[in-house]
Amino acid sequence: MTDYIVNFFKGDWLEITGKVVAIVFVAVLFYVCFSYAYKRRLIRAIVLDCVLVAMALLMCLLNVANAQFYVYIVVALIVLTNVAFFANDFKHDMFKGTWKRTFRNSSLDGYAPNSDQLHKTADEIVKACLHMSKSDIGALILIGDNIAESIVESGTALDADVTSELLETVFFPKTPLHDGAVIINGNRIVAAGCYLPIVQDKDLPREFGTRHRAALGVSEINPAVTAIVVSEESGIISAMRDGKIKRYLDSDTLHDILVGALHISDSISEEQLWGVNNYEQQ
Amino acid sequence: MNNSKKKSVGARSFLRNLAIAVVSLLCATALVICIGFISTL
Repeated sequence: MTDYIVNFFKGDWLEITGKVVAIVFVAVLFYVCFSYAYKRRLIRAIVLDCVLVAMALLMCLLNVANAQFYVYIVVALIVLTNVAFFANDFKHDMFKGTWKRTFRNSSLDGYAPNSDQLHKTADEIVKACLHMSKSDIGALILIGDNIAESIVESGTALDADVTSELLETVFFPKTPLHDGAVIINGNRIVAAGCYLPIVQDKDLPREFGTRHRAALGVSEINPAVTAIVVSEESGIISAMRDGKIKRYLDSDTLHDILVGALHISDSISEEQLWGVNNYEQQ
Repeated sequence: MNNSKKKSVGARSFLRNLAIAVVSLLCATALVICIGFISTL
């Protein structure tokens, strides 16, 4: 194997060009997958790919028996995991021509709110949720910087500072935008009145209406998104993230969840806030 | 937002893309070498 590596870039120019083209082609595929992984905060997917490649290299270096078979298995695993994780992103970029947006930071590219602005945003969301909870106004708020373009495009673009007055106005019954989700990225409301996929889980309690199911659906598809739901019937404030539910939230817990969701501080770990099991109800 | 903040965000974005590109290139090289090697067995 060492001899093969040493002589890898030796030979006639046609052979070397072929190898370089192969490397560049595979590198572009990895780059696309890693960019999606970074955008979706799935750093574990990048680590998994690197570990699988390291395993393949190690098996070749150690010249284990049936190395061919194991390397093909590793390649199949890399392809399968990336297809499973990023097929939807790829499809969306392919058909909507949104490649440029994928390789930028986020829809707030070039704009980074400071922690004071984010703290103010968290306070405004808490204030709005408490007001709406008392008045039995239903609300669905998604917080994250990598929410699928298809969801954002289904609503009305706003691009406004987050204020409790604006949130309450958007969710006020009988207004055109009240029956959808508000999407918040950093300290900006990106869009309102957005439609979300609904989770068809039969184990969910009957009191979970369309808003809760829609919020759960998004949080399951995109683990980096936090959804806040105010129930129209009971006024209960709930939060969903990565398929986990926290219910009966008071202002302090909601604030802690928002601090995590807006990446203001990592002082409280995900496990402390959300627990380990799915559909955990507090 | 002032220009220096815009520049620093742009630089961070460039560095992030560069880091992803370097890791991708390393993985691709390793994988192509592995497949090339097993095809000689």
